Amino acid sequence: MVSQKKRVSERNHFWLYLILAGSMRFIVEFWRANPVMAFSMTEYQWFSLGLIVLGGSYIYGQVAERPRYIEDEPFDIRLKKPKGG
Amino acid sequence: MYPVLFQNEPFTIYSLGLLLALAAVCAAYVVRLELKRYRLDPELAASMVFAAVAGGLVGARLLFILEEWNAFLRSPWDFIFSGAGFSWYGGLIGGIIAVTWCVRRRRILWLKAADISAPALALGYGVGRIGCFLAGDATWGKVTDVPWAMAFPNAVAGWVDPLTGVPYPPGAKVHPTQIYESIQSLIIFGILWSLRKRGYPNGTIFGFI
Repeated sequence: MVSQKKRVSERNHFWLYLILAGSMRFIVEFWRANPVMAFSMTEYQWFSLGLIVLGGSYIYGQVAERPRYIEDEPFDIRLKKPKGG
Repeated sequence: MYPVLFQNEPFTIYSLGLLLALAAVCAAYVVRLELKRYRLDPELAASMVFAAVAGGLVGARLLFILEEWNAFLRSPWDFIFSGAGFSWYGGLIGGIIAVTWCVRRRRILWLKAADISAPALALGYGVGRIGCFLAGDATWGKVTDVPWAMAFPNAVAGWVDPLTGVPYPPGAKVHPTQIYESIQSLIIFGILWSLRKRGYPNGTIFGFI
């Protein structure tokens, strides 16, 4: 059985990228010389926050909608041949 | 730093251009590896990266124009063709739109293409930021006195405060945030690349669509 954690990490590179890139840009903006846009945050920090929310909500939604993995699926699913023609 | 790496008339090699080209090559190589792993046509890598670069440049410019709308209205043509001023998030949006158009023509699932592109995007950004560092394109940080603070007197954007346009006083040093971002992005690439090696279910990677 493949854990839910593994499933999430395997299939969400793009959304994970949005979260990581957004988080890191959010942090680095504290040292960047960009003007504050609103609520003490720069325009890029707002964009970053948007990316983090977008990526996080997608991954969270996927976990919430499909909380279980196929019980009888072998661990090394790479060895499975595709079904059908 | 070093805006010009090599000059021998009539040839001039600019560090920013060279590093951006290197970033595109690195990204194309990674996309090619991923396409192979997904059993897709690896030749598509060049088209995807070209679309990402073209869409990214247009998007980055458009968002920058929106950000500087008043300056744009004062002198639109000079603004468009000045060759300076790009916004990273505009580039990301423009690149995503262009790559979407590219992969839809090949009937590749969008989310699969997004997964294929993600590590390449991180690697390309990390390499490209080194170009920003060498060229000095005003993406440095605030004035600081940390031991690794740097000055960019030969910057292509001029050694001025990007917020005020006022030249820095002698001896002023700033956070080299281009290097911070480059390191961050290469770490993201490492994370995504290591996760990729855990394997995917054959043909069902985006079964949830």
